[in-house]
Amino acid sequence: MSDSAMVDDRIKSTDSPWQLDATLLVFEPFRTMVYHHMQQRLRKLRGRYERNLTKLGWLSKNQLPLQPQSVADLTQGLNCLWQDIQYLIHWLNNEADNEWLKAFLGKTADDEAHQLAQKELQPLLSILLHHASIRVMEKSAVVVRQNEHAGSAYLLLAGQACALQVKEKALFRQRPEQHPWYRRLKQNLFPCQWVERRDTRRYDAAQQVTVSQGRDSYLRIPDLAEAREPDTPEPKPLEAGELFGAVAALQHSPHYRTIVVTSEQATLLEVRWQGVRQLARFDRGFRQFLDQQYRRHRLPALLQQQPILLGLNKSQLEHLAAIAELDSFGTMDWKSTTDQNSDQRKSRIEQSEPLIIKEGEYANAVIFIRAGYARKSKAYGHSERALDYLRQGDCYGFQEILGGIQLRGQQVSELTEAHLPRYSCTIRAVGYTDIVRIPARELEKVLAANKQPISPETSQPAAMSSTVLPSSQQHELLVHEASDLLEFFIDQRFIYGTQTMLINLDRCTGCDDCVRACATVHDQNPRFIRHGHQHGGFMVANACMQCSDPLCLDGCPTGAIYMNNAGTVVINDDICVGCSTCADNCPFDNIQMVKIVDEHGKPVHTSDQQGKLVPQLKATKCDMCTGQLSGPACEKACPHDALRRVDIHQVEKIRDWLA
Amino acid sequence: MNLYVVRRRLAYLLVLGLLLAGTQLVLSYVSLAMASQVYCTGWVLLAVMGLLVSYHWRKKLLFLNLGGVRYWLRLHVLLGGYGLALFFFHIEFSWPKGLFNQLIAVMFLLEVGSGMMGLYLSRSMPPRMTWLGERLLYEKMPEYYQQLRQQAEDLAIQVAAEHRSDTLVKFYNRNLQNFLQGAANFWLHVFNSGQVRSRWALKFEGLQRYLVEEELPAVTELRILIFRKIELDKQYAIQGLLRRWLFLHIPLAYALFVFVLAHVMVIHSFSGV
Repeated sequence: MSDSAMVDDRIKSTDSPWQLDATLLVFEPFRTMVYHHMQQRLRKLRGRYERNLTKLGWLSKNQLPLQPQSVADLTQGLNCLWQDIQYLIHWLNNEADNEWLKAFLGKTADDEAHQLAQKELQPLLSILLHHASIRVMEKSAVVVRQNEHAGSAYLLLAGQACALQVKEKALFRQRPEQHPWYRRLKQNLFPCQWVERRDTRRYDAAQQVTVSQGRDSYLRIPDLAEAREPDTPEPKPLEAGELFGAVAALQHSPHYRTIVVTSEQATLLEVRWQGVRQLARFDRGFRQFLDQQYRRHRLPALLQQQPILLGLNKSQLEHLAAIAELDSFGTMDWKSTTDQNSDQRKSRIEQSEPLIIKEGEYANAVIFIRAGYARKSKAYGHSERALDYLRQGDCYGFQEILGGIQLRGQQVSELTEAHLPRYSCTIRAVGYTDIVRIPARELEKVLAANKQPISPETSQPAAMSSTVLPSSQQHELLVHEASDLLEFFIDQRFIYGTQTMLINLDRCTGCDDCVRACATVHDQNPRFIRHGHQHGGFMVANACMQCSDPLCLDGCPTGAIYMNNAGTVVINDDICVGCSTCADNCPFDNIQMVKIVDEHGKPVHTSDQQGKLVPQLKATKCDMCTGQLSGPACEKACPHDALRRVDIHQVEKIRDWLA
Repeated sequence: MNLYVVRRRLAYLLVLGLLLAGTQLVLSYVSLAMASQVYCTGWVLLAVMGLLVSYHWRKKLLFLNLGGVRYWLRLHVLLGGYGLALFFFHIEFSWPKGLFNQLIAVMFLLEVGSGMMGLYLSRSMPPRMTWLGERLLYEKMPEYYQQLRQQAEDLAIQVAAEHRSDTLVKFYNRNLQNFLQGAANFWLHVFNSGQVRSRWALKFEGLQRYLVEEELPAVTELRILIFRKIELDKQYAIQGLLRRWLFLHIPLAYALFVFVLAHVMVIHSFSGV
């Protein structure tokens, strides 16, 4: 068989994981992104690839340079080429006959070409392969829900949709009903003998609007007119080719609107937020597109919330948004480690936590955290010790640049190196961190134009002010007392938590009253395990921490898990399809899938995608006893004050309680 | 002891002192009015006992928004102290006459004693456990015992097979097999005795005389396993004690309450009050 025949056969027989990309590339802005990328990269590779592609007959010479309409064909070709490269690597590794591949790649089938191709093409293809999927939805399906933390961006490939505000009821987000006192009394005194018993009649209403297909399930809103929130803007139609939710996904922030399919059927490409981030990193054009969207829609709101910018008018905020520099640091990967010595620690921090600001550098900008977390530390011994951490919306550097503002009135000759405002702390990205950097000079101009009075307390630069930076003795005390706790919380990522369950082991007698109380409130099955990471005299129990940036919300197909107005992540049992996406996403294993029983204790079954009967699973987690009058039962039940739900940001309170 | 604890204890004593002073004042008025002091203290004591028992029900009825159980425990401790003082007022600081009354008095003192012991245990034992390493779940301890036993047995068999020597296996059979079966030396660990550890250290030192050098690493490993077992025993003993004292305190409380009600009925039937 000739080489070309072999290749043709292979192309025909190939399953199409890569077909996805070809479909994707027909639409903006991915087309723009890939076009831009291909233009840039293929210029370098043209010498070899052009020859090879032409040889294979996939791309005629007159198609170069690329035209938008031929991008899809080209990508199809490149996908196949990529498969060829995989074959090649496989064959070379197995020392098989690779004559045709040698011919395909030219005279020398050396590793250089393969590595180059791999390097250039792999990112895009692997991002799409790992983080994208095609979703097909029927009419009235809900694609994204308002106030839902964005976990994915969507590209409408075919069909129509509209963006609108709907009533919370239509999304099954009613406030949990308060049981009458006699029912709760009965629940307390005569607990049910069945664990995870449910009133299955409750599911009837939800089943009518839920299309259950595992992780591809979705919720429907049959009557849009009725579901629409009154006195809200008209629904905005969305056509094929429109990308939505990308900025929200990048920031992991809530969607503003609910998007509902309006055509008989719609095909959407769902790209998970990790994929959106990687695409933005991979392609400058796409990143610029997202940054532009962010500046226009989200940044003014972030700046408006900053106490230091209070009093600025809309145009000034827009100006700051326009000149702000957007930057990203770090990765999503995270591995919990324990350091044996300062060298190990230093190298780990330097490797895994990229530097955003270095202590002692000239303070020339204020930074705001737009997504993620950052460690704020000071040099200590041969390493750094944490003083605090920054989270979404926090700002750093204002105190330092205020010193610079004051100094500008002085003669340059009077200024010495020591006078220059410098950052007093080091800021490092913990995991991934997106920041907004506003140059000091621009901020100074805006503040001067606004004639905003600067209070004497805050007018000192951090390096000079006793209120901002404590004296060396105070600092030492602070470092020794709170920093050890902070280091632990940051290293183990407990900083995500806003209601973390801490157990003071010096007080806990192990009576299990907390566990029993939790079980009483929650269908005879406690929603936490009194076990977990232990550090010195306390333990962080395996209970949902109500993360400020919850990953468990990502990808819930029906929106059953959501964050309520109080910041508590709750699960609506009625529309939970038991796909376990949330349980898989939780990095702390704090969501459990349970089998449920009906009123008579019989297991409830459902049919899977193959039509086979399987036990009905439901996701369960700590919901802070939402719906109970007295708040979290575990905390209330502890007789020794050994268990508290704490916000890790209030580390000094925690320290006092533990002491 | 930190300042907060000192302040809290002082506050307890102050409130208790005030309660007792108030009681004494009321009793002196009662005495002036020629009424029965015993009758008065008896009823107050019954009310206090009712409040003490209500702590248990508060723990059960968590849906009621009546403050955290920790505040109720403080009240429980305070009223326990006050109840003891009232009891002495009630018996007029002399041992009661009659078998039934003596039984009630013994039960009352046992109840107060068990409560005080529980208070002491719940304050002193958790810090001891903190420094024993990872806090283990009591219910899972049999599983940990099983794992340790399996590891030790495998190690002994492996050494015997590798070095063609049965010294370690004999040592295992004679000394370790029973010890690794489950929890041991409960009271020694409750009283924080270092005797168990020293005894095993001596046994291992003695064993080393009869082993070749190649077997020594296995002995070190075995010694680590035994010391882990001792730590596990300590946790088991402390956690067990913290759970078991309630089996004395709670049934006794209900029994006492029933006896006291009978006592009240008897007094009202026959005293002519």
